[in-house]
Amino acid sequence: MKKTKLGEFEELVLLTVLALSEEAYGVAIKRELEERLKETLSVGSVQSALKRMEEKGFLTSEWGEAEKVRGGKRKRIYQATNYAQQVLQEMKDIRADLWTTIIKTQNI
Amino acid sequence: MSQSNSMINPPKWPIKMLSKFVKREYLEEIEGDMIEEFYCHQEKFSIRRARYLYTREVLKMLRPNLIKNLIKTQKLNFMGTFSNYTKVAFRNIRKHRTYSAIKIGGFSIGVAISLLICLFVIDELNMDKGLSDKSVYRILRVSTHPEFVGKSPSMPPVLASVLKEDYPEIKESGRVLIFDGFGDAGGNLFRPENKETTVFEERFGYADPSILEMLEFEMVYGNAYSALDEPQSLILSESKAEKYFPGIDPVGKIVYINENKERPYVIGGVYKGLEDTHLSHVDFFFTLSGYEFWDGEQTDWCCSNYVTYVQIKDGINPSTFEAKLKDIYERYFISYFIARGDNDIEDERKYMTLGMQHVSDIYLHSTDIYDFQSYGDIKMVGAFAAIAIFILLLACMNFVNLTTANSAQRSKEIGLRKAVGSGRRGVMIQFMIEALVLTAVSILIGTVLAFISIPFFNAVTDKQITFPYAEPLFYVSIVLFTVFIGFLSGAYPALYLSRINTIAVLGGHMKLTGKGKNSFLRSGLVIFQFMISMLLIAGAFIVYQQMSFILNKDLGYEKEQAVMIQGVGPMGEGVKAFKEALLSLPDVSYATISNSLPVDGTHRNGNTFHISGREDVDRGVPGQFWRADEDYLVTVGLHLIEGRMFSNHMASDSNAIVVNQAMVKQLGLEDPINKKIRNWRDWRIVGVVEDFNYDNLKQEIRPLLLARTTTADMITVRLSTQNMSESLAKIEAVWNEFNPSQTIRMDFLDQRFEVMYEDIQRTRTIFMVFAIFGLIVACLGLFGLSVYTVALRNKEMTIRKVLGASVQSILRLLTIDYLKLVLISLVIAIPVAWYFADEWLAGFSYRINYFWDTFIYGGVLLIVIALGVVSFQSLKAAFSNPSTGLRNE
Repeated sequence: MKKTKLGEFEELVLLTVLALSEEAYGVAIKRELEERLKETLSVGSVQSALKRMEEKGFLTSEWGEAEKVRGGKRKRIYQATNYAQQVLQEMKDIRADLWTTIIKTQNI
Repeated sequence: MSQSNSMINPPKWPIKMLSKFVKREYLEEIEGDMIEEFYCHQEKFSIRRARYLYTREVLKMLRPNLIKNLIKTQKLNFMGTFSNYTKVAFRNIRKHRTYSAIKIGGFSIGVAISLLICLFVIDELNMDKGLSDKSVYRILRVSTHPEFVGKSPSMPPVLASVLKEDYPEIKESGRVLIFDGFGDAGGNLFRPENKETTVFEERFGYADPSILEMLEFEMVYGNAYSALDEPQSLILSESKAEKYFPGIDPVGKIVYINENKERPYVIGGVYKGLEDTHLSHVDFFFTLSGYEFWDGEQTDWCCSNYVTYVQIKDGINPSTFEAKLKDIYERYFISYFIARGDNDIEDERKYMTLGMQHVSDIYLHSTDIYDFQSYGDIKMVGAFAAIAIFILLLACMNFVNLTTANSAQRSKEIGLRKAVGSGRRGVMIQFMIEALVLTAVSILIGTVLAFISIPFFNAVTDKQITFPYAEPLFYVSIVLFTVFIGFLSGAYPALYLSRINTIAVLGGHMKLTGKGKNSFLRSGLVIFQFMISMLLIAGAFIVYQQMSFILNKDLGYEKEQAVMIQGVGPMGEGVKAFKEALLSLPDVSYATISNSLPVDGTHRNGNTFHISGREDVDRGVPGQFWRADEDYLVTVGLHLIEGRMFSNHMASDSNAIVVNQAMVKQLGLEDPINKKIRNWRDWRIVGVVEDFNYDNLKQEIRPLLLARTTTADMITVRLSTQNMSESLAKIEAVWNEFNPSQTIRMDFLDQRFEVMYEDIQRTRTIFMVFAIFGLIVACLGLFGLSVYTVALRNKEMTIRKVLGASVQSILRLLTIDYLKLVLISLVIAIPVAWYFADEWLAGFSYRINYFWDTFIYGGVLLIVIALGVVSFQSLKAAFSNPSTGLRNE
């Protein structure tokens, strides 16, 4: 947590990658997020987040198949690393912890 | 899938553009994503919107981690090459230690000297620059009369106010009087009212109240509008204020000058030092407001003692006023002469006029003006700048010379670089960078050297130059200078070395003898270097000789063993008793009371003398009027050649005078004794003294007259003792009896004499220092070259030795080439040096005429030094064991 930071958008993308599992490639991630966030995203922003996280070691990727709809270009399938999952879990715990504190103080 | 067939394909160009800047490894994936989205958008919205969004994606792709790192990848290669060049440059410095030391050493000295001189020149050029845009001028009297060609800034007292009244283009006018010995200008005893002891201060002057604003005095206390308005007011410099009134505002405080309690002065203000102006030598200004030196003086046109400044109104072209100066001379001066009854009016009209000089020109452009101050000299500034450039050139030449000479040792490296793909440009850049690295190192060392030597330099030049480390411009110019000198010195080696033929070098066919076109240039540079060295040496020798000539010249008086005691004026008639007390001391052989002595810092005046009865006929002879008592001649050591000295005891001698030979000659007296001279009244000549020098020896001795007095400013005593300090202590004890509240002010005559020639001595010292450094730089270069030659011809020499050559013959072989070069440079340099020496000496009335021997000494010195430098290496080669030379390779 200390060493490598995970931005808000990155966290969302990372969670989407986990959610999509096998199908986690650029456009798919983008569409999933657009649907959930109810806003339009650009390919660039998603790609940028993906590359950044790959560099930071949250993601690994490998080439998928080429498709006609993609103009014959291959997909790149992303997978979250163990480290990413660990970080996500940690963040979730921290948040949960904070929430319980908030609830407690409000109750008192 | 089928639907995609019916769909329109995305436009091509966005992808093309994208491929230009997006990282190649990401391109396929991103392209795919974009195309997929394009089809999707086409279906969802419209073809137009899809295209729009598609195109927009390209712009959105401009993210730092997606685009190619254009700069970084380029820079890496670039820096790689350059860092290698720099690395090699440093390695070479370390590998060829001697060369590098010589190159850097010579360069550093050159840089340090030129930096110092540069600071000096800038300082000189900046004098009065604060006023350069202001229309303030100094009025000059210009004479083109064949007998007295020259300019003088001295003006009658009324001129300033008359000009302001009568000429509407004059905004303001004012006067300054800094004529040592006139009134209280010069040195005075100074005492604030609340202090006990008086202190002698020099640097007093007079000024009009308007001067402060015209010359933009910066006031620390008081204000420039009114500081000198009140009669009997006085202003002083910040440093003097700090000395007498530390930490307080002294405005309104009362001070006594020469213990004159009847005329106390009130401090009207304190000004910031005038170090950067032509008035830098004045620390105190008395006001001229309401002051007269004698009754009616201020309204008279007779006596010219004031430097007069005028300020032209804004918007008026100064030349319109300048055009009126001739009329002004006619209107006031000539009409005064006519009223006075002069009858050389036609001469006056023909030869005399007025001129004006901008205030910012006074400091550097006043050598042709008979001023009472010594300023800088633009010629001197030019000469120094030239010397700086010469020394820097010498250093640059060393660099070029040594680098090209060293090329043989570098040729393999260059050949290899070229063989593995470096172009000529690459090699050129490499050598440029090497030059830059060396220059940068040298300039760094040179700057440090300059910084260290600033106090010494200031002492020699009598300046207050500070190192401009707070000035951003300084650093900018240092960097620009580095680049400029780096390129200047690197250009030739770069061009020359980059031409090296790869095959010849690597095949071992490269000639390593250092002969050929390149050596021709090298010889030329050596000749040039030694020519400059010879000029510097000859210059220094001649300056030295001339100086010694002046300092040891028979002056017509005895300056040794004479002590002057100043400040006896306040004793009045009591000075006589003091003189008697001094004479009773066993060490004192003579003593005299006088107001002037033949050294600077004593009273001087300007008078006009006529033969009695011819005042209205002759032009009059300008000269000095001194006062002394009967013991003056014996004490000062003047030689009476006719008649007798006047006596203080003969009542009939009250109008008796003694004149010098110049006076007799200029008045045209045949038999001077008992002739009468008129100056206000008639004086009778009783004696004639041999001419003695009382002014700068640059000028001819001018007429002088001695008249009798019993009270005066100073006592001079002649001592006959070996134990100076003891005698001085006795004199001081006598003084303290007479003046318990005042410290004695004693000076040796010979020391005062040397002070008169400080500026020339300064020039001498500076020239000597420069000559020595120039020589060092040149010798370093020659040493480097000889190291190289010896290294190059090492094999040849050893073979010669093996075959039976003697040490002498080898030595001769190695040194003869350089000796030739030195001789050639002497032949070129001597006429040039001769010409400039003669020009310089022409400025002295008393000058050395035979200085050809200087060239022999200088030449021999140069040859000896050059031979010494070269033989040092040659001897090493001549004595070396042949086996070591041949074993190599």
